[in-house]
Formats: sequence, structure tokens, C-alpha cells
Amino acid sequence: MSMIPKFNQFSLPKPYPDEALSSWMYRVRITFPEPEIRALRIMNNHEKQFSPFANSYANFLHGRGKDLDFSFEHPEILEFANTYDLSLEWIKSVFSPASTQIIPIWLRSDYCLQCMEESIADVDFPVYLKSWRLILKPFCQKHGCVLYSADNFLHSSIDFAMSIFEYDSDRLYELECVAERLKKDAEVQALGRMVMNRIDSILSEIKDAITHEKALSFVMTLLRITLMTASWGNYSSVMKFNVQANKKFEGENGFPMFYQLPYRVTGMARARSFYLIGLLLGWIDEEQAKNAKQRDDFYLVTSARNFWRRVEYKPRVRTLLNLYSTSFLGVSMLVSWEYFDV
Amino acid sequence: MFKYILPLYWTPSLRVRVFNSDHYAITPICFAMDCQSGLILSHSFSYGLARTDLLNLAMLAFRENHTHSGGGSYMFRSAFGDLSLAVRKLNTDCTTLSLTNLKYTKSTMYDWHKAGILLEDLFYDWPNYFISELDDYRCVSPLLLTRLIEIVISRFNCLVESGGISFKLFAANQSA
Repeated sequence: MSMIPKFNQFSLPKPYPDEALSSWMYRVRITFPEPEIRALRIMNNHEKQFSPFANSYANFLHGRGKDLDFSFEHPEILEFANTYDLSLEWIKSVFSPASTQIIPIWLRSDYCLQCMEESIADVDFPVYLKSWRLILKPFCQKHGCVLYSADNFLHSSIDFAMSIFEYDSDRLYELECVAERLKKDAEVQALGRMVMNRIDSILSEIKDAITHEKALSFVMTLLRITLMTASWGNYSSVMKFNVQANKKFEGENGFPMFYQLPYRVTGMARARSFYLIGLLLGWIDEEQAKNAKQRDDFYLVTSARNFWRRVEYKPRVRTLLNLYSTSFLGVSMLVSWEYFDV
Repeated sequence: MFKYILPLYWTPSLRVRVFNSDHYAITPICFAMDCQSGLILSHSFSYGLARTDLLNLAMLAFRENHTHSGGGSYMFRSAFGDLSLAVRKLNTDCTTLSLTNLKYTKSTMYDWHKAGILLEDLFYDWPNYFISELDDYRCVSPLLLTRLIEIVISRFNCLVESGGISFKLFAANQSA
């Protein structure tokens, strides 16, 4: 029998639309703490120091590497489900991600401030949304704005949303400057958003699993190409490119890094990548690109031909794009491909 | 049943932590490919064993798997050799075709270069459930490497078997 919780004023808080599991777990535990946590709240500092549970709970709050958003078989999630009498099937049905291309927990940094403010108004908590961890969604699904990026090592906190919110409330002037700079780049972002939506709608049309996997790999290869070192000039006006992470999560040489780049960069950088993909697929023409570009964004290309010129690992990239071509997305659609395909 | 089995060697730059040691090894992996279907039949990797010997291991694992399905084949899939050979600088992130050309005739109808590129792509395109088990993006434990190779082979064979990706040289077919 599946255990679907009943949500009312006396029961567990209802998951917010698109809320990530770690965020909901945090809210549940704050609203209805387990007996041990309740005991912890009334302990004094001396008692806490000698409590084994206090130590393990502190480790839990600051533990690294546990993906409590999407690793549904993780012992802590199983324990949580058991404590609150929830079925794993129900948890999976509500909190599963909408795409397989996910930013690793160590590198999550993106969020939408407006969504957080709205969730505070609705449920009294800043809520963390699962779509913010999707590589192919650098724009807010509700407001359409490009996602902000947290500037520090908050990614592993279980109370990620709360930590970001507290962090942001101390840097209001800085946030105003960020908003001002993003506003200047609004037209390029709008083109990037159009490309993201178009790719999303193409991928959702594909019913065959193998064709879908190929089309997704084609998009991911384009994303990686647009993020390569040789293309970094296109990002000179993007406020923040890399996500801060431990050295251990960096590739040693260029080739593994080629694969890691999509999740090592901020939503702002991926938004710019979609603009570049739009140029390559011919969905943005040169005139549109020139009109959208800021006057002082000197290195941003406005044509596919200029982009292909800078691409590294040419034979590999060419073979990959050929291998993953489908009738939905393929090399035949790439503008100035003949320049590259020599 | 299998006319030609071709070894495809892949040397990733991802290092492997050697059991009970502080060493990190560069581990060439040998994929035994069926030239008829393009599928990967078996694999092996080592810590410092000569690459040509890897094919023997992969074939042993394959034969063992055929005679006793699911049992015993793991013992042939990885082997210790001269560890000092495994920590030297090698040309990594490259695929190499058979080193024993005289013994194993290559099929001319397939583009094995493409197969190598696809293997590389699947090797580094890590799914999220695999990433969440990693402690480090530069080196893995032997167990994680084994899991990674199994994921790669399963995705590779699925793409090839379904016809989603083909390595046939169409130009050669047309001209024939």
C-alpha cells in the first residue's frame, strides 16, 4: 500500500511546486522535528557537546557529497521516509528530476531570487527548486530570468535555500549591481532563452528513447563546444563563469574538462552558451545577433563562421556531432558547417 | 559464432587508486569488439600489464562468461602487472586499434575510429548517479572504474544494437 501523506494544517507541509527533496526534508524537519531533534533544541551547549546525536546531526547538516535531492536510495532518505511514514514510490513520483542532465550536488549554485521571495510569502520558507539543478535550464522556469549564482561553498548545505537567502540578505547592494548588469545583457539572454525553449520542445517531441538519447547528446556536445577554453572570449561580459569547487573536482587535463564544463559553469554562462548554439543552428541570424549584442561586448561572436574558427579538438567534435545527428537535430542544420567539415 | 574479435584499447587519463597502496595507476582498458555486429563482447584492464596481454584477459573473461554465464568472469577482467609501468606518463585519452594486426584481420566495413570516439564520449559523459559516488574527478577506485566500464558498455551496446548508431562505412559499400 502506498503511503501518500495527507496535507493539512496539522500534517506535513505540502511540497511546493518543483521543490527539491532536500528542501522539503528540511522544511518537514523544522516543522515536525524528530524526537531526537526536539531533544536537541532544549539541550544546553554542554549537553550538546557530549551528545552523540548532536554530533551526527551536525555532520548531517554539513555533510558533503550526499545528493539528497535526487539519490532516492540514499540511507538518509530511506531513514527520513521511514520516520515520517512516507513511501519511496511517492517520494520518487514527486521529487524525480525532469531531465537526466543534472548538475552534481558539489557544484549546485544556481537559484532564482524572485522564486525564493515568493516561496517565503507562500510557505514562510525560502524553497530550493529541483529545476535549478538541470544543466539545460539556465533560466527560471517561472519568471524567465537568468538564474543567479551563489558565490561561496554553500552547495553542500542541506538548508541550501535558507543559506543562500541569509547570504543574499547581507549583500543587497551587490545584488542591485548584478540586476543592473544583467539588464544590460537582456537581449542576448532573450535569444538564449528562445533557443533553450526550442531545444526543450524538440526534445519533448521525440518519443523513441534511442533517438532522444542521441538528440540529447547532440545538444550536450554543442553545449560543451560553446564552453571550450578557446571560446571563453564570448563570456568576457558574463559576470560569473565558474562555479567555486574543491580542487578535487577539477579535471587534470583538457579532455575530461571538456565533459565537465557544462556543470562547472554558472547558469549565466550556460545562458550565453544557448545564444551561441542558436547561432550555430541558424535560429539566430547575424543581424539579430548584432542588434542584441552590447556595444562594449567586444569578443562576443555574432556569426557561426566566426565561432567555428576557434573550435578545438576538431576531428573528435566533428565525429561526435555526426554520430549524434538525427532528423530532429543534426549537422545538416549547422550554419557554416562546411567551413568546419573539411 | 564470432568470426573476428577485434581489440580496441582505450587509455583514459582518469587514474585508478591501486588496492592497498598509495599509488594511482593509469589503466589501459581493452574492449573485445565483435566485428560482425560492432558490439562489445568483453573487456579487461590492468595496472601495468602490457596492453597486448589485455586481449587475452578479455577473451578469457568472455569464454568464461559463455561457459558459466555470470560467474567467475570478473577474475579475468583486471590484473596486476608491473605497477611502475602504470604510473609512467602514457599517452592518455586516446583509442588504439589492435596491436596484433597479423593475428586479427580488421573488418574494412566498419569505421573503428568512430567506435573509439563514441567510447571516449560515453566514458566521460557521467550520469548523475555515478557522479554522486565520486570523491574526486581525477581518480577513482577500481570498483568504481568497473562500474563505469559496465555503464559505458551497456550504453554503447544499446546504441549499436538498436541501430541508433552505426559504424558501417557507407561510402565503401556504395563504391563496391
